[in-house]
Amino acid sequence: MSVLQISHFSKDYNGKKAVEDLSLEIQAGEIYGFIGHNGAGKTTTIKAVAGILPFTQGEILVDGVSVRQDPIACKRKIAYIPDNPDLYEFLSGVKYLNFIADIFRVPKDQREERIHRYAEVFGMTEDLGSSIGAYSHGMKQKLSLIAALIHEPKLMLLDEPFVGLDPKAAHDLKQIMRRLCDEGGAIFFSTHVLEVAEKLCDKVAIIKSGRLAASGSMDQVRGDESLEQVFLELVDDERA
Amino acid sequence: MMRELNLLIKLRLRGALQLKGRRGRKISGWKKVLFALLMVYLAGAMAFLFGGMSYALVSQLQGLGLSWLALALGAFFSAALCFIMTVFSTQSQIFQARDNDQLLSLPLTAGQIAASRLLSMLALEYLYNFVVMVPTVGVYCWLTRPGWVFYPMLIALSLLLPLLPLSLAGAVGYLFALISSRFARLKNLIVILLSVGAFCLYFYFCLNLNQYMALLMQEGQSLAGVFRKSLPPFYHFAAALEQGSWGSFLICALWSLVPAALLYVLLAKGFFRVGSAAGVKTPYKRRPLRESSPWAAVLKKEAARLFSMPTYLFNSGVGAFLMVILSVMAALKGEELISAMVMGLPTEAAAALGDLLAPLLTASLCFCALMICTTAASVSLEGDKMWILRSSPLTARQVFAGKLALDLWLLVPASVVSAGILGLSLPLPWADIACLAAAPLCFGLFIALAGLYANLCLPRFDYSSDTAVVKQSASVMTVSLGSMAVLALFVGGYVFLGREAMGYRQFCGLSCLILLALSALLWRLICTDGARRYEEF
Repeated sequence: MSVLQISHFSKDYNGKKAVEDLSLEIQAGEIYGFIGHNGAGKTTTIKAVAGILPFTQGEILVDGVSVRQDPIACKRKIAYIPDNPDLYEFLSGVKYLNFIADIFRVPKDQREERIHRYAEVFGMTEDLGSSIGAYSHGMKQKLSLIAALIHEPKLMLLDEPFVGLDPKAAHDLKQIMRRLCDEGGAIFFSTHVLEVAEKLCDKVAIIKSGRLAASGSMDQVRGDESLEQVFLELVDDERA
Repeated sequence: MMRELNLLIKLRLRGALQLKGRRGRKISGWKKVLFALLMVYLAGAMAFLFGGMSYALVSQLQGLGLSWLALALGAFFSAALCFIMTVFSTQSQIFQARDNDQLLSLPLTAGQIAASRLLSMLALEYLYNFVVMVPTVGVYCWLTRPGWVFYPMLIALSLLLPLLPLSLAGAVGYLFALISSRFARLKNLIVILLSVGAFCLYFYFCLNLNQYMALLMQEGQSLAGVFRKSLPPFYHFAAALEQGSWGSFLICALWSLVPAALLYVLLAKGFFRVGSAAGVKTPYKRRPLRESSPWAAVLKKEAARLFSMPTYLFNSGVGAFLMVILSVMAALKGEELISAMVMGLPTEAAAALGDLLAPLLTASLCFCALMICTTAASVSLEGDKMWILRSSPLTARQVFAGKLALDLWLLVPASVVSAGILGLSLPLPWADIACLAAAPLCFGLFIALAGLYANLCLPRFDYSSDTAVVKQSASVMTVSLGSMAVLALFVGGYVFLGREAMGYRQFCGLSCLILLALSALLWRLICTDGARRYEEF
């Protein structure tokens, strides 16, 4: 069964189409890259999958459950991180993680083990007692990643996850993404860093002005060219 | 130079004064009318308060040649109001404003940024000064008919005098910003303690206001001397206006201008240092984590926010403190007050007055309860963090329950403790004590639900300072004004109908039932229409 199935999804804002008739499918174990220029509809799609953005056209299924019909059940299987994760600055790092664990009903021993394991991986252990208000952008990004991993989601939705991360954290994140997929999960993430997408993704989709321009396995999409060349050709086609 | 300054001032004033609708859209006509009504109500209340004070003072002291005391006191109260309204906002508007880093990165000098912030706060101070001084000076002029020199001097001094509280508020704020940059973890505790101290002082002053006024009228001459020595700017303000003294005018102008210039220099020189102060890091010690249910987790998160924002705590939770202070004061001075009130009255009148004790206390506790409303700003305060709740497997009902529980967490103990103190200290029957506990609880519950629904209908997410949401958002103002109207309706209902028809206890019971029924309806509305609105944020 697909972990994520998007069928004929469309979304408009005050009559202006942001995404039109988008369909794609992600299987367990896949890292799926979502590429497009600014304003192409990447964030709109990811937010709709995360159950944040209401929509009326099309269907989105997470692990076979409809986002529209049972959003809470879907959200239990998902972890979502926006491109600019604003967090509760009045909480300390560990209190924020405990809050997220409470919401996802993660048992006490599991949450303690996971919080400290991932904090160690991202080099955040020493900072967990500090107020989030004192964190740098990269530290907030790392904290939101730890929070996303606490309930071991089946599907991770990441909007520009590598922005603000230092090279070590970016490397660790890539490894964690791969491991999560090896354990049966799936990742759907947007990025502008095409080299990362090329190396990391099993499949890729290119969105252009709200419509899917290309999708499939990395080899299918890029053919004999680099992902960058394919992407630029598609964008140039539109401009022409 | 001036063009940049003008732009900055316009930007800040627009942020402080503009009414915004959902997602920054223009606000609708009826909301503007509601806001205008609120402003008229506030202006009326201030006019009544300060006009009345000025009338009492001038008519009593004019014969002694001390009518200037009315002007001096008016200027003092205006300065106090300006100081109180400004001192708390200096943190969000000047020292820890969210746009500090952004402005500092632009080709603007620290002096321009400091000047724009000070001038926009000064513009708001003129507004506060206006509401106090217009009734005070209006009544003074009507009673004393001053000469023509009075008016140009009044305009000049009214423009100058608010510089003094602004300087004082800025200096206190500057000191506070320096302290908080060194003791960041104690910052909120310091603010809360200072606010509680200031509040108790204010409450004590209000309780004894009649005594002070009587003293002022009896011993005007000696108090005038004290005023002259200890509060020279206000004395010279009044002396310049009453006697047309240019010497006093100059002294008052210097008292206003010199500290303002000093503050400007201080800010322009030290702006970077304070503006870039970041929070401190706390070493992490691994401790066992506590599990909570999802709605309890929301409650804990809401409580953490409330206690991390002194402005939020004081604007939305002050009623809980007031309720307990009121009952303690009634317990300490109640008997004495009742004896003083019934002294010399015929037995029947004394008994009638005694019967009013419980209704008066109930109304007072309900008035305090309407000042406990954390929910009216709690949705807006999610702001950019809304994605956390919206992407979590939390139902709208669980989120609302957590937010509502915080309000009840303040309301329930305050109501029960207050009723307990009053029950133990005053000669009241058990049924009356039950009414004292039940009425504020039911009223507070209704207000909390109304606040939550109002905020779901009128959220404000595009703010640059949390204080703007807590103090100025449409939902907070609507609920503040609306809850007063509802309380007035119940009090009026008792005075004009309930008292004759059914008696206090029956009326109280019926009111509680009505409030509970309305609360049930509101909860249903929140879980249907409110949840739909929440899903669209």
